[in-house]
Amino acid sequence: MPSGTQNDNAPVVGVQNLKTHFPVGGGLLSRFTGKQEVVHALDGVSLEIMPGQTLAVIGESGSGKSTLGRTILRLQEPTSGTISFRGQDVTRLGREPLRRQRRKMQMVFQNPYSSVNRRNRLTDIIAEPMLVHGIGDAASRRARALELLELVGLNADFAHRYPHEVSGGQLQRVGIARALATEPDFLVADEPTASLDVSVRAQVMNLLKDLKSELGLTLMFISHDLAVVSYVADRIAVMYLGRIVEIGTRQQLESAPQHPYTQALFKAAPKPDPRRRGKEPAPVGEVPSAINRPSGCHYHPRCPLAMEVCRQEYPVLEVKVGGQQAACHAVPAAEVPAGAVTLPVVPA
Amino acid sequence: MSEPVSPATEVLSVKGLRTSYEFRGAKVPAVKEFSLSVRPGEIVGLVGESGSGKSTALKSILGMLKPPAEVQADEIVLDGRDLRSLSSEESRRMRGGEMAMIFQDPINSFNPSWTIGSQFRRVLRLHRPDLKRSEYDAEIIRLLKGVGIDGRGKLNSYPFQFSQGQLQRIMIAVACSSTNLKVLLADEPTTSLDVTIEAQVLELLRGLCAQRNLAMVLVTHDLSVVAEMCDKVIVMYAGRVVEVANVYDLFERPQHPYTQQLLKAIPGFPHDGQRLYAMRGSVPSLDEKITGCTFAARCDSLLGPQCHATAPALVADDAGGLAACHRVGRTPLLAKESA
Repeated sequence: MPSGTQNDNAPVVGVQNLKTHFPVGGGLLSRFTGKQEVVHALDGVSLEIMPGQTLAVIGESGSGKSTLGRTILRLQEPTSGTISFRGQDVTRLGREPLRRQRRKMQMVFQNPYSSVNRRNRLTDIIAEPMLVHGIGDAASRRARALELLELVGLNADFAHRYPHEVSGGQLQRVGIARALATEPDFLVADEPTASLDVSVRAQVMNLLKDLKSELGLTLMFISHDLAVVSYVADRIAVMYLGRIVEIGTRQQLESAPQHPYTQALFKAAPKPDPRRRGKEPAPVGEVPSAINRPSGCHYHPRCPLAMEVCRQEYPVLEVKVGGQQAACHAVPAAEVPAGAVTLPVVPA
Repeated sequence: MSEPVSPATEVLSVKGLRTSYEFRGAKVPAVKEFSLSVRPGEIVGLVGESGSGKSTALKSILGMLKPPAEVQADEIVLDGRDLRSLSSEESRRMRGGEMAMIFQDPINSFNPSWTIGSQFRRVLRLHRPDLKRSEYDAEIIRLLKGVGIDGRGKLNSYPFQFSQGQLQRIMIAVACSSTNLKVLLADEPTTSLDVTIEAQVLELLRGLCAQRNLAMVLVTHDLSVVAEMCDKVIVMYAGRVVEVANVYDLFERPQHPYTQQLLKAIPGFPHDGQRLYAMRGSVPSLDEKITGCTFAARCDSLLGPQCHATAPALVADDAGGLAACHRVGRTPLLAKESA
């Protein structure tokens, strides 16, 4: 069986130095000059997700968080690096073995309306992956689809409805049911609640969390919404321009974020409390283009702690004082006593 | 204090607005009952979920809807003039002149094949008769500077050469180009932006309103944005106003069960690990015929059969605002706390 060892201490998913680059342009001029511009969507990402764990990936648009999810599932081919699933290297897996592997790794998409076939009934949508993977016969697939509908909190009345006959929240439940149809071990959820209304968002979040513990799923949750991440995540990875700048447990990051970007992100999130308004000045600058990235640490043009070395060298991702890993020259590493490093004074 | 009933000072006043669209020959009411008043320098938030009618209300006020959409109102008065009596030429000058709008998606709000400079100059030609043609570019650069963009050498650039955040700033500069501007309507101005950029744009908008004493109506689905920005808040549900309150009362003493449940549904950050409160059901569709309160099916604080029988009117509540709930006026208010 291709699923390899089922060791509880081995990561379900691991990526090593994963890079995904997109060539852009390719017009006449570049053919003459021989220069090919490249978007560095992922630029050397390494991480592991342990069984039953939820890793949340946060970052702004262009950070590469969606590309990471898609590359791990090999919906996007990596440029270099390795992806392993349950101990097996799946980076170069051929078409047929990859298809078999996909049974165990599924995805929930951001926009439920654009990720379903509108001409199919809800049960057919849910049964589709089983059909693709040749699981069961028509009758058993139907029965299983009904079971899944119920699992995501929709009763049998919904079975014959079409996507336009249900609300966005209900359709997102169908999206989740479909992802669960092949009984996957690993689920990538890419902004699954971003297109939903506040009152419905909580329903879907609770459902995902319940299913995760009931079915023992391992989850990669991609989001820009910190509050939602804080609710589901065991660990959090913060991405900026194709790299992980900080990764650690939820508690580590929330109680003491180490990277200046993580700090800026946490401070910038609007808070639902009018008495705290205007307390935090807005962070400066914008995310630069992923084609012409700043030299050294990509965050240095926006960073209040930037030093000369930050313009020259990209900092390594290392364990910092809080216990999490961060890539920052200005934050002392865990081995060095905190007193030995002089932090530059932050202008107030 | 929170209820602004001093008509002398309000710059925009809308009463009894009703707007319907036509879908497959049938009328679909999008806004069933809407009123609003804003004073100079005041930021009023218009909150609701999709289908609540908040964007339609805004478009109706600005006169952007054309038949078969139908807009009816008791009054839409901007600085003493009823907008419904304006000729089409007069409304063209009013739009962008005294009242301007900022849209959600900056990329689709500009013509992609025109330079930023040429699009900006067109607006100045219409709304800045005080300027000579030769003064346009200097004025554009000055306006762009006001929103934090160095426009020198960039007027011949096309929209795609700017980032989302920059385009949103440029749109704000365009909207504020009239010297006569009194009211700014903003429809989800930061929804398509990243958090760090959102914080910058909100800061910019707040500064502009204070500096130029502009009244602003800010449509958003995000209560955190309301908390950051607004003085007064109007909560809409299924085409009706269900609560009007000043921002502190809204967050500290919400009166309508919908507002209370909406606030409960926002996850805190950092999260305490408690299970999220989830509202049951979803927003009813526009053409659903509901007798009684439109929120009754999802309400945690149902009073009794009257909630399903008669629609509650918007009346003064104990917190000094307005709320449309049968419980309002009865004490103790919504003491029942559900898990």
